[in-house]
Amino acid sequence: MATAGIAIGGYIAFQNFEKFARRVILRDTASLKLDPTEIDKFFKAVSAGKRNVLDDLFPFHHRQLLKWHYYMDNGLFTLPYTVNYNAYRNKIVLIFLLSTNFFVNRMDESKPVYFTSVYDPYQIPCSNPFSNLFYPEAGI
Amino acid sequence: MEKYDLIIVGTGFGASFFLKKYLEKSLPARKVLVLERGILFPHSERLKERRREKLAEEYLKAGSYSGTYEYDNSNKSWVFEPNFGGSSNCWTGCTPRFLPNDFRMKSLYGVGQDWPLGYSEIAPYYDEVEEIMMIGGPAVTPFPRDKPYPLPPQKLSSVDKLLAKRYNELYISQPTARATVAVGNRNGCCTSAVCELCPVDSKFTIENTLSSIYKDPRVTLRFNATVLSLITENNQAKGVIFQSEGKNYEVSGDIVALGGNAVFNAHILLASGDSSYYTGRGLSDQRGTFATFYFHDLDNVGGSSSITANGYMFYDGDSRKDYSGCIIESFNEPFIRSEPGKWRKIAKFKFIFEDLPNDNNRVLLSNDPLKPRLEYVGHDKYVDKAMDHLEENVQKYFSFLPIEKIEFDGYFQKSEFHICSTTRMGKTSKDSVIDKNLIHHQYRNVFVLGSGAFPTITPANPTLTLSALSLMAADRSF
Repeated sequence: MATAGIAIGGYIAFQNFEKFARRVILRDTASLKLDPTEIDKFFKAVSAGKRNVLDDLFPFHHRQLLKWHYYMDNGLFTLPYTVNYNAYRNKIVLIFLLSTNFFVNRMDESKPVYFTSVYDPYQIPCSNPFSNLFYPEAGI
Repeated sequence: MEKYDLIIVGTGFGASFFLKKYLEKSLPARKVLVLERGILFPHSERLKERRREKLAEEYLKAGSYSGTYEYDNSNKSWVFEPNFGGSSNCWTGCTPRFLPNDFRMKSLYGVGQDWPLGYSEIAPYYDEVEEIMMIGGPAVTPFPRDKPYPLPPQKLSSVDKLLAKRYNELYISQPTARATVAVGNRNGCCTSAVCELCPVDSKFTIENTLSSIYKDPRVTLRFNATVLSLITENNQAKGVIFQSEGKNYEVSGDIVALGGNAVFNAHILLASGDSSYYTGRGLSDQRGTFATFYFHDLDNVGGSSSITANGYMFYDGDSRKDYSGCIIESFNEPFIRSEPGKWRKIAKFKFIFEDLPNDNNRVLLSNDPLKPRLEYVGHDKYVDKAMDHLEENVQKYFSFLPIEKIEFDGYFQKSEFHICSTTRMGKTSKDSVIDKNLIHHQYRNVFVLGSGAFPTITPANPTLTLSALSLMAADRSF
């Protein structure tokens, strides 16, 4: 029993974060018309970039919180810091979707989602897809 | 020993606005020495660093605040930028004025300390700073204004619009130094939402707007020069001692203006033998906490800039007798909720509370002459009481929105990046370090600039006010 516990704990603690993030994205975008190869393109581009946005966005302790919650939470039991967990999890999906055409298409779930380029305001400024530049009719 | 008419310590907001006014009012023969502890780390090079591009050797030496002081409280941090332009390099560009009542906390609410000046005295200098920074803001504000803001307001989001419609002047497009249209050397803000280093150089910085004052022939600007102390004699400053590349230097000046931040101004005074009880005491910052709002059927879109609006619904009033006033910031970063059909039915608000300066939170000397030691026992109960009332106030003012649920962080951010009140102003040396013109009570030829002067810190961002105080001090004194 203890050995199994250590093995599971080790798997969670040391699982490759990219693989973990891919799993989260797949699950949380299940309702979208998204070919998983678009997710692969995203991670390939992240790895190829000078600035790894995942490294910037998810420090070690965030990664651990994410993984432990993801694997340990169930219908009966939830680890603490759920608000943080939800925020970090949303952030994984966010950075991926910001790197696609999804928000530019105004979150139209009926349209296919394609990877475009890794979202990085220092490479492509002015690209916040919720701003008045993309919704000029919404603001005053 | 070299001799100057004026020695200024630092090149941040307080120092630069003081120098600007001094140069406007002084004779061509004047000599000014500016001592900057850091280097000029240009915006273009900062962008390269952020993009992980190769930097020239000289910029690799740019320092950070980390390690500049001794401190062991992990619950609260004190953040600043120790290079040319100071924290103008890393600020967000939020520029609300203080409210008239902010200057009279003791008289009105029985807490803190009244300022030795009122809103009407500082108002003309608010106007002037807003012109220099080219602030964008709305027509209607909770504080009095004599004329429109220089630039148009930033756009409210769809959620902000509902709040503004309901609360009028108590919920406004945030006055901001993130230029709403291109102006001077600055581009218009396009909501990249990473204001700490704007990718399009939109926000006001000393570098992009006021660097010309440092090229004035009267001014000598020396980098890598960390001021250790004043040279004093008979309650007068005769000059300063500074360290550069390991060597100490002395320089003589008729007037000294300390324009470092509230940690280092106090540290320099303490190292100079300043015997005021208040010097270094009162170290404070606002305390902020986030809440995330989830909506049934309301997309939060269309806002411009990273913080679109300020809410004043529970900023001022009799509740300040019991607990802190609060300013609300509406965030406009690209956050989402990972739920089909509800991706952007979400809003993030920050609730920022004023603290009351506490004498036990302070700047001290350490064994290292370059490093202050900070002691911070914590914020006042006044803040905790405000936190206790937060959910109730949010229910009161936001419940008309189609809210599905609200998640309160329930903890304070480690920093609001506003270091205040270590050299407070007041009427006499019995209650303060400096007078209302920022002149030291003991050393009458020493100005102590910046937000260290604030007797009370208010919930609002301090930069506009500290810049206005610098203009006022120089305008009245020269």
